Amino acid sequence: MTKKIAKQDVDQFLTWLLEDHVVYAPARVADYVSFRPISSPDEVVWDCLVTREPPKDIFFPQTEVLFEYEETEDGVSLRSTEAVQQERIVWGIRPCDVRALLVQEAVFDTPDARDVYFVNKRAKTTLIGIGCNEPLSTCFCTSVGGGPFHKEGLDLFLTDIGDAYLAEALTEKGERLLKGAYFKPAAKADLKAAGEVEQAALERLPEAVDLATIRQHLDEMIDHPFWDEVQATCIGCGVCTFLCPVCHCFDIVDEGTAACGQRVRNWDTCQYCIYSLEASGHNPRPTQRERVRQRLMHKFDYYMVNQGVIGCVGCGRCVQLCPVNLDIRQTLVQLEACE
Amino acid sequence: MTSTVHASNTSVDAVPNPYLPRMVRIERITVETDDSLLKTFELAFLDAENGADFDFVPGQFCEVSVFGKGEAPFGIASAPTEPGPLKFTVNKTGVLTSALHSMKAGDVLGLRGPLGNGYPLELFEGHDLVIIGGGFAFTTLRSLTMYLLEPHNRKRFKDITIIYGARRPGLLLYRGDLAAWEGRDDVDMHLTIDVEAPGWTKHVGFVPDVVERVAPSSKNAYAVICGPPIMIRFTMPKLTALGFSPERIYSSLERRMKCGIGKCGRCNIGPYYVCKDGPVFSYAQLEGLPQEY
Repeated sequence: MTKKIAKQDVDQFLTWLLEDHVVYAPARVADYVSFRPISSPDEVVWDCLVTREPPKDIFFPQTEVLFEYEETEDGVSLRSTEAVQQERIVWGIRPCDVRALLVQEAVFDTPDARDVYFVNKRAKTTLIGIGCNEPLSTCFCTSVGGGPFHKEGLDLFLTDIGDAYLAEALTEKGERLLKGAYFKPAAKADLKAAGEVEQAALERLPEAVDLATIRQHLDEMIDHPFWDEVQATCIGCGVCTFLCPVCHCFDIVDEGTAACGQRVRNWDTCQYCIYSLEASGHNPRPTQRERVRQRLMHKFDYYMVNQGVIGCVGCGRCVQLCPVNLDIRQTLVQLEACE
Repeated sequence: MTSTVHASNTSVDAVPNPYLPRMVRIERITVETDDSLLKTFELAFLDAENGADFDFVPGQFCEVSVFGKGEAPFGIASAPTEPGPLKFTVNKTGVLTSALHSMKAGDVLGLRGPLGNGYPLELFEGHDLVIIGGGFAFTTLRSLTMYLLEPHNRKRFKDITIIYGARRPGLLLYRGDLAAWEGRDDVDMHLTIDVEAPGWTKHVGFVPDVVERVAPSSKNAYAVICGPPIMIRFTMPKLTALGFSPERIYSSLERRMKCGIGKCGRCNIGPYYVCKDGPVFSYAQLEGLPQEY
């Protein structure tokens, strides 16, 4: 089902959603824009294409209590925090970030071990996405199998056609939203406008990097001197992994005493020495060489083996935010050129 | 506005939470080595029913919770064929293991598991087995050996050779079990220490050299090797020289781990997660992957 909503009606629609949902939307946080729970449509930032932090935090918080524990007379009692009561909406999520969520889902929600914290949040969340009319110079979604108007994984997809958004329902959840009075029938001209917007966006994107043979190439490059060159530049700060919408690594720690406290998981990064450091002092990835190799091998090789997809969605956050200007697109081109 | 997104199809079927440990009590603590750095903890489920469904194979491990300190993975040292509590032998190394070493019988721990794949017993069946261990890496090898020597199981396997070394006699684990195995005629036992010690009448020398000296046949045989990286590095060429192919050499690997279920990303070697796809691997599986172990 496809309808449209006038831009002037969007605030009312959001206000209505806020009545019984937690609504996450791009909002200003200090001097940058990230997804946050909003309390009013006024907080939504409309012109931000790539938020500083990816919306992965909504399903996989940077810090998350797994359970609380307390010593009792006859043992230790646990209180899990896995339940999610409130229905949630993510408003304005971009196609790359949705694809990243699907990759994370393939990691967290497997038949042998379902990550109940992620699964519960996912089940309670409706995703309202928006296409990217004006991709940035750092965007490369089409290099990794995505696109600025990819709809996979969304419940409702919006296309900015000027004074209105074309709204396409992709799931039952999306259909239910479209039944609301804020949505009007879409005219043929609206569909045509959406098509033109999409075409213009594709033309604007930089040329795609050819990754057809990257996996086979990486398999043969485990001990290649190329990794020494990359590590010479990389300072191992980990920003490329923390702000990557796909990266899912975490640490688990106890906070508290033997008598009471909580078990917490925190985002972690393969770029840190301590990540793989063992209590004995042995470190299987002793230098940045092994760590930069791990990041690229995981994304462009191991994800392909285990999840059947590339572990990169081309959002460009790592390109934007790397303090030493490492550009993963250039790195991939250089990799492909290695003998 | 009448429509609603209070969807009925968003409820999740009750999903078991893989991060919640079950409670166990320390039944007994045995000091294994003369430096007191290795202790065996015998753990029994607080809720007896909780233990009823705990089926495991030798080579699997558990995440042990010391509340307030966190969790760490330990191989199960007891065999599924042994009645009674589960055994874990722990080296005092870091924060968690130091806390564990200071605990007493009666104290409560958390346990998640069994995790990982375990040794490929069906593959081993009908073959000779050469079990090679060094230092304190004999824990799941003990589980494996106890399993193999159980009367019903013993006849399913052919010749069993055990080569186990430590720096000195007092650092060998499970000395009571080792003595019992030496008394059997269906196990070929070879214990070794690094340098001569008073009263020691068995092998003297490093494990790789003893492997060369004992020269177990590779015909119709599998080798299982666990030990410090340096021991493995020097033993592998000896096994190759004896005719063991990488497909016939298995090892149980260790890595820093957190979740134990393939989510936290920490313990991968190439596309494999040691926690989920291992910890037991053949060397054929590891060929061509980064040597990150």
